[in-house]
Amino acid sequence: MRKSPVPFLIFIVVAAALGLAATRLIGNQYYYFAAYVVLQYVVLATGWNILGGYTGYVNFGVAGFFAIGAYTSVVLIKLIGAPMPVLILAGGIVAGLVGLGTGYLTLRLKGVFFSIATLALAIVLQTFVTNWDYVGGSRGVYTIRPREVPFFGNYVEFLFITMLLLALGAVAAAWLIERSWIGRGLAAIRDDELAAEAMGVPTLRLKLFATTVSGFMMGIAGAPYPYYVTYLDPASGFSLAYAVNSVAMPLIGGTTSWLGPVIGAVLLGTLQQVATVTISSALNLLIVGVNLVMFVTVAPDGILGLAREFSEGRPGRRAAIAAMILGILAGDSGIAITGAAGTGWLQLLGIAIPLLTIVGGGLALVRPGAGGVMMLASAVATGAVFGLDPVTAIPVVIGAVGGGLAYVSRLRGGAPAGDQALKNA
Amino acid sequence: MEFHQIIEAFLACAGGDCGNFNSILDLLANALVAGLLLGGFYAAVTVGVTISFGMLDIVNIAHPAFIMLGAFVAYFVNQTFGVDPIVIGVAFTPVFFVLGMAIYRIYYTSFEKRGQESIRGLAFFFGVLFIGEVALILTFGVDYRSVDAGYIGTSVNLGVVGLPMRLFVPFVVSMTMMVLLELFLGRTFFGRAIKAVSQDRLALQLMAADPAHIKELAFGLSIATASVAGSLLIIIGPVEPSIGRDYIGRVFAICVLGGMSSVPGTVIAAIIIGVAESFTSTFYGPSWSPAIAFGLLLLVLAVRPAGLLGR
Amino acid sequence: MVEALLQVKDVTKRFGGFVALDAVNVDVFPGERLGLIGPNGSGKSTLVNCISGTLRNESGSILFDGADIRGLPAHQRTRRGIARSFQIPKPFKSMTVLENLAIPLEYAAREWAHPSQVIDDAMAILTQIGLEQKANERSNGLTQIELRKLELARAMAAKPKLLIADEAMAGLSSNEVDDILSLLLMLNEHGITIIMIEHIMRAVMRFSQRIVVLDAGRKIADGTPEDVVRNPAVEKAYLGE
Repeated sequence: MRKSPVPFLIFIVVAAALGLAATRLIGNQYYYFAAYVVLQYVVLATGWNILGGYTGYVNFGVAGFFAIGAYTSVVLIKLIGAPMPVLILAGGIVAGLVGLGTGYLTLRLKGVFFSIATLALAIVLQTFVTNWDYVGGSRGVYTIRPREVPFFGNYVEFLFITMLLLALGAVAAAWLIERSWIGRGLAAIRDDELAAEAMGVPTLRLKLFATTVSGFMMGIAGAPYPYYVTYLDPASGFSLAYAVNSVAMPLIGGTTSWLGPVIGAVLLGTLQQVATVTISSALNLLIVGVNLVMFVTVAPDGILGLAREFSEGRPGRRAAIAAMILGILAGDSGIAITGAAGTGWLQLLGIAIPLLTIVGGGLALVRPGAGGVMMLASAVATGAVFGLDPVTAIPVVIGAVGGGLAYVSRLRGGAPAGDQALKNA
Repeated sequence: MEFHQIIEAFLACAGGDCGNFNSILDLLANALVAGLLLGGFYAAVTVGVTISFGMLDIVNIAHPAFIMLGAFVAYFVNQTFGVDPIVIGVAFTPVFFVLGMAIYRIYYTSFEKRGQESIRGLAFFFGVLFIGEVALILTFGVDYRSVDAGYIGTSVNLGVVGLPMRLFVPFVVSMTMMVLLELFLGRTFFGRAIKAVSQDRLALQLMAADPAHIKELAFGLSIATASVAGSLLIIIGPVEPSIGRDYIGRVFAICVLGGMSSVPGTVIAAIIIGVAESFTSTFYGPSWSPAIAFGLLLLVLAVRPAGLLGR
Repeated sequence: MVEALLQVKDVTKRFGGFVALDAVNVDVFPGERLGLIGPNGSGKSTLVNCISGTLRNESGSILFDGADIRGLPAHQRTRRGIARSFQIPKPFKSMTVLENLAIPLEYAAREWAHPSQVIDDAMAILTQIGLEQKANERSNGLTQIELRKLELARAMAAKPKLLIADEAMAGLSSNEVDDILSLLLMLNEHGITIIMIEHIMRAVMRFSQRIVVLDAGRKIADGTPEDVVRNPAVEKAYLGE
């Protein structure tokens, strides 16, 4: 049960060092903007996962806690021009307290009612903020970045480092919780709350701990936001996109470890940043939605679970997993590449075909034959519709290789062993 | 409109000058009627969740996405072929029924069988909600769409109260659907089987009836109601894809307030919410009404009526 | 006169209009082996749930070790020394067998133990019940009898003064029943008071020093196994008129 903390500590130190080095070497501001969002999602996903993955309670009101952090900052900046550390601490504390309160009111109920209550909370909060003129109400509020900042060339780099440190801190906290007796207690609650209570686990107290810590983390993620975005209005602060991302990233990465949300946030976050450049941001939600549904249906343990299965598995199973990964890569990159092509029907095709690749990839995990067919078909279709230049070749080639691997898997008995029932469904 | 204005008007009327007070009463009466009619419509939107969540224990948080689909189907067919939206809504119920069954198949195979329905089932529907919204955005764009029907825009006057047809017709259709559903659940074999499933799954299995099959049909029914509800939605007002989000909360709030698995309960709760929203909108402005359903729900959850307790 | 370890006094539990327990009185003495039997639906599990804290009784009182435990949540009752196993095993499926035991060892314990001590204690219990080979296996891969044993092992790991075994032998083969029976007898020899709820009569008869019979929420018999078996009210409850 005891694993050495050294690898994790090395990871933290290296990540911090790389981040600092980057600010010296990379001049293009765009990367810091993009990295900030990805790191913000690392914090949100990690925070969500403490209550969701570790304890088993789904929080749909992520946006509410995030916005608490952001709007607490707005108030403090307006009132006293507070410095960043104060903003972060304050945002976290207020959000944590709200988490505690919500938990106290609703955690005695069945899990699903807690989830509905979190949604309710987010909307009620949004309504209050929309009607609160001090923070701008529905018109929004402008926040001006300080002109001078020590150590860094400009404020955006400072924001990036801030969020990097917050992300590392969140991940370290999750790692600590996971390894501790608290983490084991949370896992017991997740596995069987009634049995946990009967075995001496103070379930209510631990659940309240999880909601508070989770709320705190989501709050600190939001605290620097007014400076990042400079114009904040309730629509963007309370965006439902925060909820769907915070749910999807841990579920896709893997919910039982601190590493899962990090993987999910980095992959999905980067993908969305790339996609935003080429296509509309509405499609970001589509990518998240499709990947979420895909993983949750065929790979419930996420990428970490697939990695574990891969290392333990038979060759046929490995081929199936590889096929799925390739299918998702091909599909997601396809949406970013071909989805940007043209308008109208061409764009719809550019989105629909890669979607089929993603679905095919997921299907390859449970029915390798059908999945392989889907992937190969969509690879061919992509090539036919969009031609084969060095860029569009990427999704085509990856998809085709994935389809081939799916067939290899089928030949070598790659369908999941215990899931005969799925075949007969 | 502020409370002190109401008090002043009342006092003025007590002193003989009832002009202001009468107009306030008119306002109240109209708000009440609008709330009643809107609430009736809310029942149609919610009853699908009453079935899927209240009776089948499936947290279909994506239900609003199906409502929006119904609304846009009604829009498309209405604009292309000129058919009345309600007719479209009813005509498409078989399609939505089959769609519901398919979704349940996937849900059952991936989650219910494995006993993983809590987090992952929830996340599944959450994802479906977003896929639905974006699919509609891609197909129809983000502009508001509305339908053409003869009665929209007309109004019947009952004394001081105006009955807008765009609210009244959906109200009537919705109430009809409620009555039909209640009769179906109470009087037909399948209806009673659904009620049985909601109460005791094990007993049903022992009676050699397959709950999965019945649940599949029930879920299909739940989505079928979305076809009608969607057509009513677009009659009441113009729609654009992200409107569905406003309904996530309303729908679950009404379902819980209405006692979860009761159709009459849903109707009553829906009307209460409708009236509460209408009054809030009239006296405090429309920007407060999203919080009504949810505020009431949080209150109810905090006070913890029996039936919602985990133990 | 030794004071009872557990005193259930006039306990009533209702579910809506249905009375599951009707003014039930039971005393359990330290070191005793008590059998709790009754037809299906007589309230045995409800009584167990009220004692363990999973349910709250509307009226009556429950005293454990001299103290009134009403109002205490289940986890605190466990810490005071009441442990129960579940009728249908509820293992922590994401954890290994060993980790399943670590939970009660860490949480129900009355004093802090070093992690290596926890592992030692867990292994000792697993060896006692014969599951030591499966210590590092995921608990969701166990057979029925292994799950039952794990269920008991978990309750043992809470180091209880009173152990309530809720139908721990249901559905097991004759040999497996004997297995569980000798396990419970051994625990009792170590000083643990045990309440056994069972339908398997030969086990109850062999195990119990005293038997309490419930029917339709009421206690209808309380005596030695020989007395209870000959009690006409008991016969009527099981066989009808």
